[in-house]
Amino acid sequence: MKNKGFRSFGRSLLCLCLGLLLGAAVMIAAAWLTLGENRWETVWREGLLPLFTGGWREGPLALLGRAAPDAVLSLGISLAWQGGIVQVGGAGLHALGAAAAMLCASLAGLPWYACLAVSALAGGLWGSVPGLLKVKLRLREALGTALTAWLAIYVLQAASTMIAWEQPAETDLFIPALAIAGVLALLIWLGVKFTVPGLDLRVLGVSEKTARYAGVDTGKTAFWALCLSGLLGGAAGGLDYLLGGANQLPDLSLALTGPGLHGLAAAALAGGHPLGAVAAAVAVKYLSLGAGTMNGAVFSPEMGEAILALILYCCAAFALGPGKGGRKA
Amino acid sequence: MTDYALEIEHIPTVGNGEGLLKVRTGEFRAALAEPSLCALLSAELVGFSCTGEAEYTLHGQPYFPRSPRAALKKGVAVVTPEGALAGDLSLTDHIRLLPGMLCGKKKAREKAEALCAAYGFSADWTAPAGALSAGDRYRGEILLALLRNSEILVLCQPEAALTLLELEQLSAGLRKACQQGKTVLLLTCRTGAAALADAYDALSPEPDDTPPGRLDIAVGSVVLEARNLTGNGLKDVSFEARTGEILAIAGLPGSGKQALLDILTGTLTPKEGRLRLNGREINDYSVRERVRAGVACMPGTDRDCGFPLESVSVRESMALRRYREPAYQESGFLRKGEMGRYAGDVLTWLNIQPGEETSAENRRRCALTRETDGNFHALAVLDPTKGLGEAAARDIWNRLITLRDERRAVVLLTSDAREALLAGDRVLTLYRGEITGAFDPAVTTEKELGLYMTGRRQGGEERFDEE
Repeated sequence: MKNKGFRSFGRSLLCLCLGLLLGAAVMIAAAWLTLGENRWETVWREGLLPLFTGGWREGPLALLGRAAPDAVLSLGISLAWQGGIVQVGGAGLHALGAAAAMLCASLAGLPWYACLAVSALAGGLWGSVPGLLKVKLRLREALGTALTAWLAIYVLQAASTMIAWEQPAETDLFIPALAIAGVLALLIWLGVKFTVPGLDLRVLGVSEKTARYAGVDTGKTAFWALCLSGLLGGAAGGLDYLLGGANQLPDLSLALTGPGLHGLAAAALAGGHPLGAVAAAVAVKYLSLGAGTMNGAVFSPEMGEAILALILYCCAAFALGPGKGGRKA
Repeated sequence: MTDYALEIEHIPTVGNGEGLLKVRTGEFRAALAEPSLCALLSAELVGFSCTGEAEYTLHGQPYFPRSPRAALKKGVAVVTPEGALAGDLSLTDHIRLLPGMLCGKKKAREKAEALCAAYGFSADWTAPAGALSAGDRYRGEILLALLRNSEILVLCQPEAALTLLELEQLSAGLRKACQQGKTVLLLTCRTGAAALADAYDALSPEPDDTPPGRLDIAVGSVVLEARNLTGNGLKDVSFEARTGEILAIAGLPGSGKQALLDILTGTLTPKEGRLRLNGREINDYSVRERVRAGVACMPGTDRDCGFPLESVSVRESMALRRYREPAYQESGFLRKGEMGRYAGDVLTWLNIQPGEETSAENRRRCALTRETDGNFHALAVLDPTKGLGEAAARDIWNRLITLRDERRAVVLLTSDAREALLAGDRVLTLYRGEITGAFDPAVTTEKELGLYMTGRRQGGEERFDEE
């Protein structure tokens, strides 16, 4: 079992390194075409160095605090993955949670924890929609979660033109956010590993048929997994808004390439492990913050997201590659 | 230049045999081997895996294909019971996908029919491959290999898809192919199938066809009664399983055994018909209620059995049927210590050393023990010895016979006619969801059973009186 854990950790590390190497190669290639003199130095000074060190600029507490929303979102995605449920609607849940928190904060003037509770509730309710579609209409959850995510993002974008959104009050919530992410990760890990519903979920993750033979109510388990996943996604959005990270809400391009991608990348890096998801989210946020400090005149800010996408591809390649159904007798 | 088309050396044989296999060009040769060895050789020949143990030589040249494409380029076609046909495409569509066969459907079919006539095969060209019987798919793949002009045909475990009689007919066609220069290697775990070739090498000990010993006890009352089960591919299926007997239901893959097991476990509801356990109707019982009422079931694959799984530990797998019982959970929290103790006890009882529980035979033994460790009245098992060697299969049969001797009712759903005859006290045959015959294994041959399993004969004087 320990070997399995080490193998999984090693695989994640390899994905991260491979993604970074590929990203660096893309940056060098892009710079080669556009830069003249001192190409190597420019790539290092304006691109790679800020990418790898930029995350520390605000200090470790800010890094961990800013990574908390991504960690909560990746926890939601990981929880669903434990049951073999492909949750790809993180972006929509995040946007919905952020909008709910914004409404509560700006219109009702509720305290931050009440805003967070409302955003989690909104995410949970929205997350139950693909759950219901799966149970009642047997719609595949990958499609259901993607569709509801798009719907949420588009509706919120339309609404954003009609409502005057307010910026969040500058509150120092890094420590509470970090504590929330840590406690949630621990609770989810304990729940999945040591409780009857957790084992139900893991058996469902093996295959639906196995779960049915084992007497698991597959529909109910999948529904609650998607609800909980939605709840965490919504809470992640709320937390992001309250930390002042989601300023331009709801922006379609940001929603898709920002938190949605970060959550997926962290969950993929962690291989669906709840505790690993928090560590992976910190790594992803570190890179993302670093990418933001790159010289915009030389490298586009999207370069960081491209590197994250490459890491995600590497994780997917490992998950589906040899030994996982590829070359198998 | 050597006149051997294919040579395999250093084969990891079990017990006897030199681990050497040589097939001449134009020869129809068989190798008698355990299922795991058949699977290993076919996987290496087709380029799916490479253990590095066996050494392959093709026409005197080293042969180590890196992919099925490479194997096909070298003229080696491997046909396995799992098959490689796309379920939604018909055989005609598959023919049109072959290199150099880009033509209209009509022309493709004409070519295929000419080939069929030459070798004495028959096939349904228009139905999707997924709707064909396992035997038709197997024959279809052989035809595709012949159309591809593959020089060497490796047929792996045809007995898993075809009956002995169908194999006999197939071997006549294969012999014709050999006369035209093709080389055929039959990898099988059956002496009957191996004997159909011109010669065979025994890479594993020859299987013993004497039925396992059992107590001579009188058959008791009806425990599990199925009446007119219809739907999910079944048509009016009725049977009774009694205490102290093993009722074997033999049917080829796709005959409805899986649906029957699912109905018995409660994961599938029949459109019509009723199911009774000790006289009590259990149609509306959930899976858990059925387990509590005394119906034990063992699905056909390790994955379906849930043992052992990637995300579930061995102790959790062992307690998979009963982790909701108070002994293994308290207020929703798993009692991992109890689960571990139970798993340890079972492994000790089965004399399985730590780390060995993942071998194919131990997985089956553990799964069977898990299902039958408790107070149950009827047990339904699907293909319990599929892919196992002779010794492991006999171990499973002996376990089933012990349960029968303890006066439990056992329903053995199997694709293997030999297994039905050796382990069963009474045999029913299933073809396309219908019971086609009932037999006494003591006076029935495998070939005869095959006639009913393939639907060539139905009812007849051999039919048992169910009531």
